[in-house]
Amino acid sequence: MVKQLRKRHLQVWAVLLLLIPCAIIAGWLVIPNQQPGNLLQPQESTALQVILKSVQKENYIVNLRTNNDRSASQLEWINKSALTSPSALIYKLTNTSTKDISSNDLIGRIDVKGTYHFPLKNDSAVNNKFVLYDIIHQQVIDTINF
Amino acid sequence: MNNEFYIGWLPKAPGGFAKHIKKVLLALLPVMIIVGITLALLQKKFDTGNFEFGKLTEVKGIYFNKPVPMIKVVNGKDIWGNISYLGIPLVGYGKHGAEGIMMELEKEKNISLTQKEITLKGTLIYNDGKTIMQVNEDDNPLVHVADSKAANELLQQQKDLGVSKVKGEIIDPKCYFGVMKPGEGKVHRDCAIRCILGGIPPMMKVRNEKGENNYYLVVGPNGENMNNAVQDYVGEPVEIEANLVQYDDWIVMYVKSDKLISRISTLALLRNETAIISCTMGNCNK
Amino acid sequence: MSASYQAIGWNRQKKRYDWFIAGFCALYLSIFIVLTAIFNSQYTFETVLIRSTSTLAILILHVILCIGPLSRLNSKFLPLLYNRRHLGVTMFFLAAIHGTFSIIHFHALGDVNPFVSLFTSNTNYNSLHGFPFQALGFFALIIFFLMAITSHDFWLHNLSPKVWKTLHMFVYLAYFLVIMHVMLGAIQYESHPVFVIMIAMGAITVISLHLITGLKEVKKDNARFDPAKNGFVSVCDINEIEESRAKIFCIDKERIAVYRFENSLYAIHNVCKHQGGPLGEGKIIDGCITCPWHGYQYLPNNGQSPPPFKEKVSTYDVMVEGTKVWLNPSPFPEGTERPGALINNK
Repeated sequence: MVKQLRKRHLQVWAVLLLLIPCAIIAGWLVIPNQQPGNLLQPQESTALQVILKSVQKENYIVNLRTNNDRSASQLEWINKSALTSPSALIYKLTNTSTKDISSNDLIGRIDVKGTYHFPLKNDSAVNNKFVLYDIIHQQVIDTINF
Repeated sequence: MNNEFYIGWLPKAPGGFAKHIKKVLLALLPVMIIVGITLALLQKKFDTGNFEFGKLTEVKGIYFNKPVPMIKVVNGKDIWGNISYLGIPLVGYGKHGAEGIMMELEKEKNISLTQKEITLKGTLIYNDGKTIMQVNEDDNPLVHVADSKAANELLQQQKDLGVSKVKGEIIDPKCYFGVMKPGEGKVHRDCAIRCILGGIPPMMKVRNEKGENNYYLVVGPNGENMNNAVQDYVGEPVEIEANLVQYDDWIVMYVKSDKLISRISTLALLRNETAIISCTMGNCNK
Repeated sequence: MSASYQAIGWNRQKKRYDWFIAGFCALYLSIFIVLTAIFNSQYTFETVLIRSTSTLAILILHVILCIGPLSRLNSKFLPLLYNRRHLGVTMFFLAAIHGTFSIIHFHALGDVNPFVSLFTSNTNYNSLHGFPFQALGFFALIIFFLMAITSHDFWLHNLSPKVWKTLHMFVYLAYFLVIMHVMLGAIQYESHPVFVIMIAMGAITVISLHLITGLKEVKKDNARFDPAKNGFVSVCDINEIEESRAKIFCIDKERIAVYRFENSLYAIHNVCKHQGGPLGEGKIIDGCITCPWHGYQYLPNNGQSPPPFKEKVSTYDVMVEGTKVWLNPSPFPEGTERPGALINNK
């Protein structure tokens, strides 16, 4: 390596010795810090006091709740992970066929990941079958048997 | 001095050199493997979004072009008589919004599609309970239009949620909900800007401490287009003060024109923190 | 070395070198892609391609940058130096795949030309954390491209070694741009500290090796000699120079190699005409001084390459008095015949 090239290397590395650590430190310092916010969906709701039955699935937990004097009942839906279907409606099956899903009782819709409380009619929901249905693809996602 | 001498243009290297290089390569191998394993395993987990590329789905619902082009699917009444809806915002092909193609369809049919029940054919993009649909003129997207406008009870129900300061990140919903992984953050910023400037409606992604998200549509104070105004604020933590209105299953942020979009940074070096936006003639700019 | 240009003068060593590069690349890409597919199954193919090629390219870049100083510290690294350009071209191809896919993925199918979009989507050039990091990667890729297309010796001669070397020195700017591209890009999203740690470790390794090597070279440059007598400087004892080998002396910042061959001493300029290799660290083979870097050869008595080759280096006068070696640091024009200094009684 000629003298001039050695000098050039020395100059380049003197500059890089300064710039590279500055670049790494500065880049690390400005890594953004996402602050948590308050969510508006799903709407805030209160869980009834007593869990009558519970079904644990891989991606969600479904609880049948009631109050202390059994005068009201509620379906509680807790997502463990985000939904991966274009829609997710909960139906209580009133007939055995899901071919015409709209003939069954629509309980509600699961939107973003969160905890949902759907008030139920007090008509012996304990032994009922529920389905999670995708109305866009018209297919059953899952069945929930208590 | 060792009398071995390396000459690269000879077929073989002398023993001492060859041995040393073998050792170096043997040392490089685990380094390379460890780097590969470490980087691969410690990448942030990709989100669950789905883009049904190559698959067309027909969706029937009521079309609205405000606050953003959207088709609202009516799921029926629940056990208490409330109508359940699924709002599906529309986007165009590539990094484009749907306004252009919907206007073309209206011109073609010589009718306004607003508040009419239509059947659209497009490609679904969905994640975390939210669904977007890509409409592409090559797919002949308009399958059917009803003759008259939908009944009033089926139209969008508004609920005022008041003024609020919302902390989150501006995303483009097409990439975020399934087309790209990741569809957020600095690495995706340029693409998100390109999509938003192309007409895809900007959304605000809000995350709570449990890692649960909400997604709000971002528009101007009177529902104007905010695509240009948000260009510099996409893909990073921001706080926006806006009037929040719920339209059934979607929340819309009407950003106040005399208020500010501000950045939330750990250390904002050499940068203006806030911007004032002004909205005229249906568009908002910074 | 060649009198005429071939695309690549394949020999066994080059083939082995390239097979190793291919093998390492295939292994790394497989590991990255397979592990991502298994443990991060919601991936998209475009993302894993962009990430696997870029991380491999950066790893190779660090290896390339270390070869130079390592070869100065230990000549046993010379086989890696000889075909370093193959590593460089490989690195460029990987970076080009990364860059091409990224431009298409992030900027195509929009309302403007992708290259216009690259520079106009994110315009926060006045911000560090908002900085358009993709532009930095783009410019680094341009530098790597120019280096890759001029990596053949054809360009070395036709651009002139000085211009060629200046162009290839831009690798250092490219390295800095790559670090900035990563720090202001991926690192702003990937929250795990291991990514910053790896970049920092890579930079520390490259910087340290260059500093250590540089300091050693500065020491050599600063060696002091007694004042000249009749133009000659006393440099060493004759026993310090082995047969067919040389000793290097730095007088007035220029290095001169003094070779011992067949009972005589010869002095030539230390810098090889090909790529500036240290001729004094070479050896006399078949009567020719052979450069340790790429094997270019020069005759000791006149500094000329044996025909049909045309390279020439400067020659110097050298004298032996008793056991002392004296060197005249004033160079003769390149290729000038000078008689060797006879070593008496040896």
